[in-house]
Amino acid sequence: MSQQKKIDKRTLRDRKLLVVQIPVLLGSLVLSIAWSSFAIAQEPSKWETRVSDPIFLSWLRNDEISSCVGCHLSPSVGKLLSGKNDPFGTFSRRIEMEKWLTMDKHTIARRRVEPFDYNMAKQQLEVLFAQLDTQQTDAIEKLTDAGIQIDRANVNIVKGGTRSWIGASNVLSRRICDKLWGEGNVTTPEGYALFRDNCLTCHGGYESGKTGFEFAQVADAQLGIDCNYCHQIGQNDNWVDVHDSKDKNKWRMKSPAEKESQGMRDLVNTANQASLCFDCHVGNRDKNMFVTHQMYAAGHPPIPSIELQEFCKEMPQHWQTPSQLHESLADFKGRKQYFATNYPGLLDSFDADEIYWNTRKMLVGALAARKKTLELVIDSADSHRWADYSLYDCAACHHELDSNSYRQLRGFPGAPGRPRQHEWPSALLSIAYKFYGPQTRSVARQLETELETVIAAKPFGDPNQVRPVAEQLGQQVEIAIAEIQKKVVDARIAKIVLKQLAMTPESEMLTYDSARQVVWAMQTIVNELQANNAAIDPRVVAEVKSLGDPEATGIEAVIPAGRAAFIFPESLESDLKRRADFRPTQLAAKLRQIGQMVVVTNTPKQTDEPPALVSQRSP
Amino acid sequence: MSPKLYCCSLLFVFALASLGRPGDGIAQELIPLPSADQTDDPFADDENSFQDKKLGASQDKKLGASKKSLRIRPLLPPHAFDPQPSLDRSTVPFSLINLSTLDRLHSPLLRQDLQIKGAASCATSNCHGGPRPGISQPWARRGSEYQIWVEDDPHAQSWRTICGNESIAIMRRLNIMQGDKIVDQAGFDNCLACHNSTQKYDEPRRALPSHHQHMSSSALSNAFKLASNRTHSLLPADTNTFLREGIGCSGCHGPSEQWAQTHYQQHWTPHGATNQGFVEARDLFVRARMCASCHVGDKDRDMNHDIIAAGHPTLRYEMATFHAWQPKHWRDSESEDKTYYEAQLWLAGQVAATDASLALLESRTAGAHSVSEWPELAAYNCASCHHSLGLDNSRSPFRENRSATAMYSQWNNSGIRWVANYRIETGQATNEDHELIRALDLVTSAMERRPAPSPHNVSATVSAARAALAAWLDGQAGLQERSIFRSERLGQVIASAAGKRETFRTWESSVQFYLAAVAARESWPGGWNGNLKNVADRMRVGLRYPEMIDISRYSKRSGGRSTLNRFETMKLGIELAGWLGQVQFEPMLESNDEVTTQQMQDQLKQLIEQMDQRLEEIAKQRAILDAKKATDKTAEKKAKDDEDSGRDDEKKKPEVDKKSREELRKEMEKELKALEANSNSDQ
Repeated sequence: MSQQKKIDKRTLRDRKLLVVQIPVLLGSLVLSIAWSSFAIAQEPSKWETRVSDPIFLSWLRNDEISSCVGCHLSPSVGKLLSGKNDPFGTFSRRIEMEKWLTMDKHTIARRRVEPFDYNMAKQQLEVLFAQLDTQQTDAIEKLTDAGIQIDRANVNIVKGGTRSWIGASNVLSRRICDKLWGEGNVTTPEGYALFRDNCLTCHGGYESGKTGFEFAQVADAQLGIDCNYCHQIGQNDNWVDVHDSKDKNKWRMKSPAEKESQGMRDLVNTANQASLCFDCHVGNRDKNMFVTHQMYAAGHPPIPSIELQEFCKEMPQHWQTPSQLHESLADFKGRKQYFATNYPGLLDSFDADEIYWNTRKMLVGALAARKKTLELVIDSADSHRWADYSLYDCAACHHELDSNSYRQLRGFPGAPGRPRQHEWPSALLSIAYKFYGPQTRSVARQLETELETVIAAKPFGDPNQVRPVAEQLGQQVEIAIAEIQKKVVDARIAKIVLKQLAMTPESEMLTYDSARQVVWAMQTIVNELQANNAAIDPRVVAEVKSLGDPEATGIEAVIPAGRAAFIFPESLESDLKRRADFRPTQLAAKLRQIGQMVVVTNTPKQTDEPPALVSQRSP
Repeated sequence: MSPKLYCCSLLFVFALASLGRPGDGIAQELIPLPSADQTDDPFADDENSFQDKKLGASQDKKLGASKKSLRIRPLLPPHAFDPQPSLDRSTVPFSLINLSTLDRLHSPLLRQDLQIKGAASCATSNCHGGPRPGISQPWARRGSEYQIWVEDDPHAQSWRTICGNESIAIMRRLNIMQGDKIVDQAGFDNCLACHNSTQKYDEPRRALPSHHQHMSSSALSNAFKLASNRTHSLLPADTNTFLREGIGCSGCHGPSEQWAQTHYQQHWTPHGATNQGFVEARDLFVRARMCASCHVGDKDRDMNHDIIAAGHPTLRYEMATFHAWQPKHWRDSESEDKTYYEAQLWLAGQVAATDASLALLESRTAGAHSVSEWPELAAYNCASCHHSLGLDNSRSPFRENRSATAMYSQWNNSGIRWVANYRIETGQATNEDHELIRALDLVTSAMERRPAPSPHNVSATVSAARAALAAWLDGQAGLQERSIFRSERLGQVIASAAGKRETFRTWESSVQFYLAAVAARESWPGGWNGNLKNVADRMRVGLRYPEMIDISRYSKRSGGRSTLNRFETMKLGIELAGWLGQVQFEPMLESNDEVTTQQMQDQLKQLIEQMDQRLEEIAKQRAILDAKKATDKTAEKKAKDDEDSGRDDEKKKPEVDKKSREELRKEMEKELKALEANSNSDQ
């Protein structure tokens, strides 16, 4: 008992210490990156940061990636480090790799969950130390030869570097594996194969048959998701040579279908992109990308709700948004044709720079997320997969039992006592359905109600009743996605959507995740309105930005995105607490205020729904 | 009273009745009666193939199994279970009263064929409506039952409860009521089944032909369902004439149609009156089972998760405790023998609760009640799902299989397991003890097998468990315990349970432990108010009993609340049990996840600190080396430059473009500025 207490105390003290240390560490890291990128022109200290970064160096040693680096990192460096020519293209800003390699968490998605125990962790660090010096020396030599002076004294991986190489999340992962497959089992080839099949599908980009995912290769494994996982379809790499050949601009003008036939995935299409992201961020049972309730119970953090635009922005986005690209291509003759090819039906009467691409993405993302959740339901409809608790809203069950609690007072949507679907997709969905068009949206809404009814008909629903409804709704959502991609979102519509979001009733934001969806979506719109210098009440801007302040609304809009941020344990702990404590009342009141302040100009009349959500130019 | 006498009293037979029923889904399946030779693995029969089997060919096989069940109860008349030879699709094999189970104890309460009379019919002053003792007739010991009930007994308030605002709110949430109208008769009847003792709101038997009087429960529930599915225009008689009295005499003593006029006659004896509809409540085991049919639930009444979610408190039945609270309108002959009385009440309560919960579960698997929808979440431990999420893992009741499905509730079967385990540990066990534990384990594992377990599998294990429990009570084990189980023995049972971590794994089991310890209070050293009371009180407060609905914080320390976590409960439990018997610690085999994780995190932290130190040292050394190299290099270079100039660059410069370093650098500056601008605009 006393031992237990001691441990408790120690844990508490350590946590306090960590709480103090981590922001300082992270803060200094972020500052140093920010400062160095700013000061690069004068002082090449950025190079010291890069060369000090074992993750950066590790990816450079990867054959495939280093060939991408050649073009997609600043040309001189790319060329320098990869030894390749510098085929600068109109479409490439050559900062893609910069963002991806130094800031994106996907690069270390696998590394952070390798189930290392103490000995393996130690071994990993020993290997790192042994190799690092040589790698750094190589890199520094090349840089020096390029005329970049490196202060060797500033090249090291003290603290932040070690922590990013191995950390608390590895221990968490190991504990999860121990619980799922037995103590220590994951350090056998068979146990690691389970880890590969169930975890590395998302965390490492593993697909059945891919090599490099065996236990024997763990020590030297790739650190995370690589470029090809998202950009290439399977093993078809024909596109690689074509896209940086002399005719590269011809390649750019090819249709998405042609590009896909050469193996390059069409990620310009927002729905495609959403679907790819949501495979992991929502789940895909076909690809074995599914966090079961058993995994959650073993310790996997809850998958957060996802608002596509917000998450892309926070990756950080290493590609150009359509509006950025439109600007970059100002001098490019084929610009109009390029946009027409890639966004068929959208730009018939509009120019690309009139479109609110981010708001549009948010709306497409809302529908795409619904599609994925429905696919999960459909794929789970056989009796052995059915009713995995993770298909249902966490908070439906996971709440404390209190008499006269908020849950009791607020009442029950639907039948009491029946676990509901995840609530978060519906927060933005109602707006997306509105946008979809009056004739067809009622069908979708009716199917939504029907699905809710069959799922509530008995605890967890009867899969045989649920499946057909989910399939019908899925088809409807698919049609909606296709249609919505052709509809123009301009400044006026962005404002209407903003106003509508502000009118989201409390009953649609009962869970933390759904409320946060609304906050993210509103922030996306306001950011875009600002970026476009649209007329908007500065009070609205200020209010919307403060929606993500946990003190004011209970919602923390900042996600631990980016490589420098760690989810486990501090961020997760406070996140879980916020989830448990969340009450939508304050947020709903704030939203109503904002809703009153948003003025939509050029609106013929104020009706319940956006009257002119159609692709016609406003007068 | 011996079990043989019980059996003799079971002379009436409920034939398997037939009723046309809609041919849909689960209800169409035959459910085998408990079988004595239940195979080891109830899952051997794959559920899908089970489902696919059509009635007909497989029918005989299953009925054969039900025949076998007779062998364990040879005293019963064989035709009690004999299926009618011409069983067809419309036959309902699910008997309302299954005499091979403990249904036989309280069977009058399950009968739908007998008329229920209101409490007023018992309350004449010559009968049970006499003055209260101590008021006008201090000597009175008989005849005042009605007065005590109506004035003091909470059961008499039950109608008032159901008319209260809270109940109305619950019924509105459940769509039993809309506005002030009852719109779901079957749902309301389910409430009335426990909140009122006279005929139901929409008593289905009145709508059925008389030949359906003896019918099985499925048939009845189907009648319930049919009634609720009909667009039912209520007759004024239906809505207004049923008696509202709360739980009156017949609620516990049984429908009095056949015995009201005879039970005061000289020749009448309660022995054997069960078949007249009289509940022989004098027997503590009958009494406990009778109470349990509402306080736990039964095949014809189901207080399920929907109702709890709508606001109804969960049912936390423990006979000895409830019995002590109950204002008594009777006197028990055993009550003078204190160490026997309370311990027997506790034991009877545990047997009854286990049986009632299983009977309820079985009817739930069959969808036998209109309010039942499988899977029934109320059969699980509330706290296994209902807790806020946090990193504090110790609260989550992990099991060896890590299936992360909800845990089957331990509330109703902890006590009986402790008794059987104690018998096993002390070498007194009979085959029935082992069978009982095994059968209960199978129910638990069937319920926890997957999130929505197969009702067929569960049903099979449940009937087996009910049979095992009946066999336990009727067999040597039950006979023995019914004679020797006193509070000393209960104390030893508690001591045996206290050494096991399993006992304190959940709040449910921990509270049952506390209640059992209190039921043994007649044997507490120093009496009720001795040293033990202190420990017991700490346990009660720490477990927050009886604040029964807010339980999910068990084993999580939460701010401002004096709750015990699992380890503290176990410590107190051992302290308490140490006074009552010999506690043997179970070796701490189960790893404590939280501690292990923390140890690993601490190790890692240390490792990183060490490595960081090493890195710093390396950096320092390297700085010294570099400085030295640099001076050496400049010296070398100077020397080289002197010798030959302009030859050294060629090898190391594979660049194709001919830009100078200065140009290159300018280009880079430009780009990085652009990058900076872009990343700013992204923010």
